[in-house]
Amino acid sequence: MKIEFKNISKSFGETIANSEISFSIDGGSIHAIIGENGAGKSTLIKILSGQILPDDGSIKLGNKKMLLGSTIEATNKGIGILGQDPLDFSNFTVLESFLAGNKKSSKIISKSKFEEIISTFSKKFDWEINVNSLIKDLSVGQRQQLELIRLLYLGAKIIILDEPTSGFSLDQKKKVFENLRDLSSKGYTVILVSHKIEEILEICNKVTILQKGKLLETLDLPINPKILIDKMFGPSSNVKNDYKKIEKKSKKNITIKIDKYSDIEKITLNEGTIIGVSGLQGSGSDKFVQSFYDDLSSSKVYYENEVQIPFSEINYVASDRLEKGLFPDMTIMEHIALAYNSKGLINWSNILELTKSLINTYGIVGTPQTQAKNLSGGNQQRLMLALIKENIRLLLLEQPTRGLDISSAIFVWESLLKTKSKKNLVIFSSVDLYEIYDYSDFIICFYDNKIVASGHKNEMARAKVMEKISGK
Amino acid sequence: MYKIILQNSIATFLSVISVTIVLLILQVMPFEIYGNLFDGSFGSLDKISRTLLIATIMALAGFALVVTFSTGLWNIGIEGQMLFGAIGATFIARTFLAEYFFAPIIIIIFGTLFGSFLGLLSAILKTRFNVHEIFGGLGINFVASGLIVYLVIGPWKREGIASTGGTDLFPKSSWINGIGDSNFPIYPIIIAIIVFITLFILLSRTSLGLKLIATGTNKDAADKFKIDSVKHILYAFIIAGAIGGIAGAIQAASIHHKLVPNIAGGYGFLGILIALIAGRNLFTVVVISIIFASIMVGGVQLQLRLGLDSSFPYIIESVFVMSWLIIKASKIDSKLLMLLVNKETDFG
Repeated sequence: MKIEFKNISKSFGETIANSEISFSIDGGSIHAIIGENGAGKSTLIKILSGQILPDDGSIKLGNKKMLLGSTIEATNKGIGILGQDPLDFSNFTVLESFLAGNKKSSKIISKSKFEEIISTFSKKFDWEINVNSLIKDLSVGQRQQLELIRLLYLGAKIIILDEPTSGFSLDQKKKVFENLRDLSSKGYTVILVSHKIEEILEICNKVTILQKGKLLETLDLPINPKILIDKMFGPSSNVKNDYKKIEKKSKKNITIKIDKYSDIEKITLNEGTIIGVSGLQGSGSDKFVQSFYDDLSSSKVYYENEVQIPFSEINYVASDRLEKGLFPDMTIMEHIALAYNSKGLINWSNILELTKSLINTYGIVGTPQTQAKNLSGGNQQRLMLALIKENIRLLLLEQPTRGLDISSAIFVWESLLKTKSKKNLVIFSSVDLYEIYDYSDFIICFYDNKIVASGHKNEMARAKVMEKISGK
Repeated sequence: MYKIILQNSIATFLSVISVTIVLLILQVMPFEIYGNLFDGSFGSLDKISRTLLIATIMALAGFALVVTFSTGLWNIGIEGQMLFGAIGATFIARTFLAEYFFAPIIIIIFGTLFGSFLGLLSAILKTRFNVHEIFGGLGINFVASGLIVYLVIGPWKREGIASTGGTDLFPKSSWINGIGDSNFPIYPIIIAIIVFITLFILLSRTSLGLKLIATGTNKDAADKFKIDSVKHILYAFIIAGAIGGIAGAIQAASIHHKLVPNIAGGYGFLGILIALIAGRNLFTVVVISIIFASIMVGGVQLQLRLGLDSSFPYIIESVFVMSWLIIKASKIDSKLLMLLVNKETDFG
């Protein structure tokens, strides 16, 4: 079914999110919507899925006008959205969560029937999902797979994927892409919102570029990636990062105790190293990174003289930003006050100044009074970076660029490399092998909650890492 | 801040209108009722004094709820904390200290301590033993009222008779009354103002207050900010208990001048209603407390002059609270304000 956007406009207060956007998406195609952080992609998608009522404009499905601002209407018209953060119930099992979001079933629920449905789908897509495990124990990628199954089961014909693949592992992604191609050949329309140009070039038929809330262009694919990048960021942008190695003058050693995850008891490295923990979704790599924050008895980092890094100098940046990292209802200013004014009276005028300068430095699109829940994913991550204090010696990051556009991702790594130059230790997990190779000095490979290989980057061949994290 | 006050004024106005409608349905003259309520509560200095004293106690109970509200928790144990505050006050009033001119100060201090002890108990049940704060609070209220009955008819009974009528009167030196012969509750009001200002600064100007609120919004994120949520829940309940204790001590030393089993007088539970209305806004707590107190005090006159049933003040209060909650839930107040101000603002 053809989707036609006509003059869609939406502003929030003074921020213009969408301004007179008109374009159309062919039925049965895979269409990408790209643009920088805050370009208005998410708003447009939320308008299509009925979560936001636009100020102006209309959407036609086929040749019928759609009732806007109603999620029920959108669902009835077969629009299903797979968001950056999966919508599910963390205390439920996979089966229960599936049942709760299911409107098709009769009052009496046959568990075995749904078990079968889930397993047929996951078999078809070659995914592994245990219906009895709790949602909160699943990886983000697995949760999104489950969401996709649910959408298809509910009869979605138009599937919107909002930054989905950042949660998928390489293998998962390959499978999902195959599935998407398959779906589009069967007449499903797939809308992919992404920042990853390689992905778009690999799978999409057309791409619509948004810039600062306005439609820039809709292009047919394939196209030279350079042209696409130039259009998105302007011609001078430099997307590939070639950071010069920072000279390691200090030879002070730092030791990480890892005996809970490995036969090796500990790893000793130079100070100022970035450790990349590579692993597929659900491999335990995220939990490993987290354990340095909340399980200090098993995961320790200490200096030569057995002195541990004090808890006050450890910072952990969660990948579930709104759920675990920020206070959704509190303003940027209040977050800054919590991080930088942790004792006594709060001098709000100083905090306001500090907030303004941090918003500036970190390029956050928002005002000091903006609530965290109203920031886009990239801006939430920028805020989390802004909250990292100078005295931090051990920085832990779980999937630091999940869901970020290219400029935000580059920005994240610029800040992180700055930290490295201050002789700290950074440990990050990522499902993106490119990210691991671009930025880490030392690589740890995770599979099935165990460290299966580790070594300096120059000793670890890419192919070997791929094999190791796939459990071969 | 102004926005909230304006919105709440609109909500108050609309709630009064809906109370009026209910009164009309009940076929009583609303303005006659309001006139009598006003006259009964503010008609003379004596009546004003009584209204303000009750309002002070209600406001303190409301403040105690606001503190735990900011950590996202209900301080249902408020009645118990008031009872314990009164027990603390009585404990001092029965010692030699009661004879000194500074006795009222010690009475307030002990009321505070006893109340905060009970608040701490609620918090420990919550954080250590995982008892939901509503059930823990209710249980503690029962324990406190049991203890007070035991004290009144047991160890602290009056010479020769054990009755639930109360203990012996406190020595006059320990009463918290007005200056000279006046009944005007100047000291309780001063105490309430001090509590108000302290809480206002705590919640809006200190890092502790911000951390309390942060704990209330997202415990997982609080953990990443290295905020010890257990510790902050304890703090909130200790502070809330202390304020409840002050309210109880004032009840004992200003109103009854002795310990009676029903010394909290249900004001704690009214405090819960007040906090339900006011949310985290301290100023609204004060306004609603005065409105409620005038309904309670002036309500007596409805019975005497208009021959209405004694439940009338409660009907008015309940309709008020219900209308308020409906108005807030449907955001009628903010929509109206938007129309009135007639400019685009992000009320969400």
